[in-house]
Amino acid sequence: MVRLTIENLSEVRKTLTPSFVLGEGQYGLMVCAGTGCVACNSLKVRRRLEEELDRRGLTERVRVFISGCNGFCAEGPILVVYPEGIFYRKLRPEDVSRLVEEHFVKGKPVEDFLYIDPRSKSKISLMGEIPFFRHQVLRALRNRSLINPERIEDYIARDGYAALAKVLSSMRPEEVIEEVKVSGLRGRGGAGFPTGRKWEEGRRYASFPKYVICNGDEGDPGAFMDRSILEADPHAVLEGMIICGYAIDSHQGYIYVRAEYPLAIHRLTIAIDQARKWGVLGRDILGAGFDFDIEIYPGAGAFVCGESTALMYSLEGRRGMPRIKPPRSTEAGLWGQPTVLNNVETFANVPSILLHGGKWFSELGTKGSKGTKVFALTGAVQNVGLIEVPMGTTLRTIIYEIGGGIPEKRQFKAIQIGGPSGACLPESLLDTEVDFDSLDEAGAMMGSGGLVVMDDRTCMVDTARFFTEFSVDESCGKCVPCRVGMKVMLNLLNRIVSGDGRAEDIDLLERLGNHIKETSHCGLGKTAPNPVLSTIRYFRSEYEAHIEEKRCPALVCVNLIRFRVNSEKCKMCGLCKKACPVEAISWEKKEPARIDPERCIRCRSCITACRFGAIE
Amino acid sequence: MAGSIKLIIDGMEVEAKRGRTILEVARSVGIRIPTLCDDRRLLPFGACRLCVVEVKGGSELLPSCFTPVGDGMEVYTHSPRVLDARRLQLQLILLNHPMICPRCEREGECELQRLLYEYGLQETQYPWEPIRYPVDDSSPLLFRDGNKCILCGRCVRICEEVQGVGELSFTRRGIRCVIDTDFHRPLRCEFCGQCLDTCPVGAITSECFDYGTKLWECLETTTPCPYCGCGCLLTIASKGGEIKRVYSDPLLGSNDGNLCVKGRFGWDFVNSSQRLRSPLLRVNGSLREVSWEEALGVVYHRLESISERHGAEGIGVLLSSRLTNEEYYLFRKLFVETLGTGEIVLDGGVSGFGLSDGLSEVLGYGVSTNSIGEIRGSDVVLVVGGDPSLTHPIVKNEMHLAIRRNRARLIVLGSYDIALSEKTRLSPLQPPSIFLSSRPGEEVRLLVGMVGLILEEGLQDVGFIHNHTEGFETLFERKDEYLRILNGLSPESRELLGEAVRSLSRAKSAMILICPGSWSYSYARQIGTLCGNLALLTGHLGREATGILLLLERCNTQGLMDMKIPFLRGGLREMESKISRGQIKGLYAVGERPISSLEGLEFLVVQDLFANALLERADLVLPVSSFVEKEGSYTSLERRVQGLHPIRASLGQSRSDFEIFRDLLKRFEVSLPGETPSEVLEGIKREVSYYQGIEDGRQWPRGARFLSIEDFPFRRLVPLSPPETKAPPEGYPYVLIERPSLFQSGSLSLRSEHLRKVMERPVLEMNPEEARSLGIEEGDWVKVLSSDGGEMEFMVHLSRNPSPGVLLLYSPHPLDPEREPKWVRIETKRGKIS
Repeated sequence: MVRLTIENLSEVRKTLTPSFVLGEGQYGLMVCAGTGCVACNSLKVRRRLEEELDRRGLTERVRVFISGCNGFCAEGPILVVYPEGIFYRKLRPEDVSRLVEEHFVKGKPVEDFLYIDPRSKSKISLMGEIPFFRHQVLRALRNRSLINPERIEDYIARDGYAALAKVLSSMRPEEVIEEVKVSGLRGRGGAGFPTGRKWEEGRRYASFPKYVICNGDEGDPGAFMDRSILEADPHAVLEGMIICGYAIDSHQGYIYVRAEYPLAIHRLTIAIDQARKWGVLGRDILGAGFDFDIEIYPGAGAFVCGESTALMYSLEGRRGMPRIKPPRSTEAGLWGQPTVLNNVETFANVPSILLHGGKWFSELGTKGSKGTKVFALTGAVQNVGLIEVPMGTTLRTIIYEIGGGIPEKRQFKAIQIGGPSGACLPESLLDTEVDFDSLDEAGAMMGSGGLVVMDDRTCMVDTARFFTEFSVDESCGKCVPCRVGMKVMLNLLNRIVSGDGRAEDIDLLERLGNHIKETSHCGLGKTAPNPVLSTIRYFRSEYEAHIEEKRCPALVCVNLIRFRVNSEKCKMCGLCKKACPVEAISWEKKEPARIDPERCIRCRSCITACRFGAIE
Repeated sequence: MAGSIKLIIDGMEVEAKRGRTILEVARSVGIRIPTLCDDRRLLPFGACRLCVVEVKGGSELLPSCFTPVGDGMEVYTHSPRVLDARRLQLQLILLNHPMICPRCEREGECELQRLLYEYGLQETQYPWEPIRYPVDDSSPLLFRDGNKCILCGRCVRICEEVQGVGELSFTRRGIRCVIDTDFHRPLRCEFCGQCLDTCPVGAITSECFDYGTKLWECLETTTPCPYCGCGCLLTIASKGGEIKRVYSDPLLGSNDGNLCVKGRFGWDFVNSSQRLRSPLLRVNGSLREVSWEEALGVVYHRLESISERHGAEGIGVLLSSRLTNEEYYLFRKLFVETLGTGEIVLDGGVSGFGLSDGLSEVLGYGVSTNSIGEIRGSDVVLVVGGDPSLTHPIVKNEMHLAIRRNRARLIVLGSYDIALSEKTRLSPLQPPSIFLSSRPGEEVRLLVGMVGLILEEGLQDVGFIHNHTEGFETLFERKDEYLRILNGLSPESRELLGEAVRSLSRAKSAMILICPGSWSYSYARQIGTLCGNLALLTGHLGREATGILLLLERCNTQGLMDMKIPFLRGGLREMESKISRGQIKGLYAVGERPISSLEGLEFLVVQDLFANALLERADLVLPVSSFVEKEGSYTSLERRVQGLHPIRASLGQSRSDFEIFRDLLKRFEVSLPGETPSEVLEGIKREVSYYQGIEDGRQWPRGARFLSIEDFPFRRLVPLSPPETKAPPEGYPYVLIERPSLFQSGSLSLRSEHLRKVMERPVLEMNPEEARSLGIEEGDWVKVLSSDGGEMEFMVHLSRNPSPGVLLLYSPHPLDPEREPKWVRIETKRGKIS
């Protein structure tokens, strides 16, 4: 290990042996060690691989390394074989010996472990050719499946800290900020505030010390963009923060990460430690005389702490509650000092912008939103996982090309974008481009990047109720509209889904929702009614069905479903009667069964029991 | 005007300062915007969302309480959209608010109720199931009902932002959010009732107040508080002469609307069953009621007879430190000028005199140079010899504001650290407080060391010294002698001292707060002088938020000084010996103080509020009026002269000290400036130069908040010789210090049932390291044996506050100002350890 300086960085880079650089005839085996794959035993696969290779004396020729999240979480555990990039999926530890035998001894890829395209049913061996990957453009995730996040050498070999060296050796802070402004980078945490302008403001206030904070308090259900970046490429975030520190004249950074992300914290700790040892963090960074250090602060699990001012309160050891603005945090943030707070993904984008120029970055994307955006694609799609697409990609491309469409031949119904306070968009808006402004127009928001796809089995009223419940639980309780208003909205929704809805309820919801948006204090309250308002806007008929007809079209709301036996399909076997736990089904031999709606508790046992689909 | 902008509010063109909020500006032109979470003492919070206004061109409604005005802004405070939003907001607030207004304590006084009336209440269409919240009915004095709470956060914020206590906080989240103590334990706080005061609804109430009588039925009387020297103004709401509520008008007095536990709740002594109600004369060994005519006749004849037979020295006087200026004036006329006695001792609070004398050697005035309210503007606060949070809670609030809003550095010099020090360790940017720990008597040496260090390191304000002071050269000659004092210090202490003087001299504006502590009595004069020297050397004098405050103990200690009454130098000890030697034959006791020997007295008069211990031996008892039953004025420690306004006639036949002295003076045929307190005050204004032209509620001289450099007769650096410290007696390594208590400060507080409920338990506070080295744990019982043979058992409480070698014990009584520090040793139950 050497201490890096501006002068020796490129020399040292040449001498490193990163995981992904292979010698002649060598194989590199990348085992995905993102949280998803780890949960499916990927580390056990790795250990078996190493044992197996060792047993066969192949360790010289075949090197195994781990990387952060590959993104294709639905197919985990994932193994990518370099140099070709052959993609194995759903590997079990017991598959390992066969894999080694066939691929590395006999030299033939194992067909059985390859990815099968659900549409063409053909096997695809190369990662880059899988549709899931083909439409993605990697910027924030540019080191995905390439580097070992626990080795700074890998990062450096991928031009890591080159941007920092460039900044420290040849750019004035103002030039750094200008470059970020030119790039058009907007905050990836949700609100989309122009990053360059934020830095400029942070620089303008001459009160010291100043702070740089990385917001890693990713709390949206189903969102894991920030976690994946921190786990896969922690140094990119560190480098972005250091550059920000240089730009605004700060010497201390904090990373506020959820305590529920132990792996991210673990890898960040390693990264910070290595960065300090290699001389890119701490005192006299790269020998250029600039000091900047970073500390990790594990959050205590309140959703509201993702709100920047609440986060700062939490960091100060106070209760996480949003404070009033102005002053903005860039003027008086942490401990009342100028503070620039950006999201994990924002910082991860910074090094490439500085290395390749703001113009390069801005070439991708739409008029108002430049670059790419990472999304966590979940729900009713084939390919659940982490994706990065250029701004301006349509939702349709994301769902059908990358996501592989809706499984089980179901119908698409809605896509929920922007986390619990985002909106549900219908089929008709699938050609909406993902960028800050178009989503805003559609009554949705970019949010931090959660995308939940819903099929026709989803009840939109129930979905709205689910997200509202989340917001009610996570409201900090400070201001009236969010604290009480959201609870009232939940009460109204509960009444609707349980069949007691009244004709005026939709109006009440809309009135209240708009009031909450209008008068709430922080971004949380201002957006919390979105799921309800957007579902009323796009799926009003479902609300009406619940209220007027006391019917749940998607057959989700238990109180609104009536079970009956289709006597044409009924084979009079009586299995349903046996299955019913409350004796609500009457059946005599050679008679179709009948369900007593008064007694029925809608447990669906009869549906499961019936072999003929006669219960509707 | 620079920094000024124009905007339009409700069609009215308004000029405003940049940075002010829409709410402030609207209020300044008489537009009422409803608020529930706003309190002028607090920083804006933005919780209730009632103050929303519409700004032309903006899509959202903006909360006016923290939105700054902008140039050319067009604001609508009562547009239909705004009114609609407010109505809905009120409806939401009310959903879980129990509508039991008719039986609520705050009925008719509730801010929420008023808004409902103003905005009208529609039947709500929203489904709601009431949620129950916890109630705190196990704390003394205060009762908190989470069900009525609207979560405006004012209690939480005043407790943290102003009081620096942080007893209450938001707990839980969302709709379950509730304001509570940690783990819902009973309150363990200052019981200042500031939370109750700021609560807009009936969620915090007190058993001390009679809510059965509504405020509008009450008479509001504003009068100064009878406890410490801060001079807070109490607004007393009374009906039929009974006190129903006490609060403080934020626009009057020095206290910014804040009160402490004694001011808010400690007034019930006026109705104490121990109040004396009629004059009593001892006849045949027992006291019997007599008329005032007869009683005053007896006093007159006996005093004259003693004075004839034994001279002026034959009459001794014990003087209360809670009389009015006018009463002190008459007292002086009667006892000093007419009877000629000099045998006067005070019932407490004497060390202030030594401090004042010492300070006046330097400045010509021995008074506070600045006002309490200026502390918040200073960036260094040096506290010498005590804890203002115990003795002067309002001063503590100001100190906390300086720390919190101004990042002021706190320097504590004394035998124990103060609770506020903790508040300086909450933020890494806050300079941590410096504790210059000393044992009793060492304060002077440390102060001398500070002067030496300033001279050694050249930290003095050369320009200031050159322009405004004399005597620098003589002082400078003592430098080496002063520095030698530092030799006895550990390197750490020396470094701390250096840090302290550097902070002090670099400060833009520093305040020196001198506390009267009994342990420093012997050195009070030196401490006063040295603090004066420090202020002059560092140039911290004569400006806003820059100067010295003398924290006098009693409500009118300042007035007592101003009336120039001579005291017996040897204090009570000397008087006691004069009594036992038969020199003093007659004792006139105004107020109470334990006197060990009363044998040999021919005549003892007790003139007091309460049946006190002296009554047993009294020949004559004269009952006096309480502070709510008389007129006159007090002068607070910041030189503020404030008139008393009675709420009722005197209890029973009691009379004010004023009337008693006046009628006695008439018998002695002395001419007076007038018959009433206000006439006498006019006389005082003629006689005491700096009282000239002073109006009620203003500070002398000329209403000055702070004295400017020219106000001081001279600015003389006094070269003081450092005293030697006394070595502890063999075998008694600890010094036992009685510290004051927030809840008790002598005869008034001891007769307050309210204050007795929150009385501290007598525990022995010990430094944790020291205790552990002796094997003593929290809660252990130890025996304390003093070098003069006394012994007592105490439970030990481990506290960071006392310095090593110091044991702290709170005292509910006024600190005996003339007592020397007590040297003790400790024995545990298991055996002697030190």
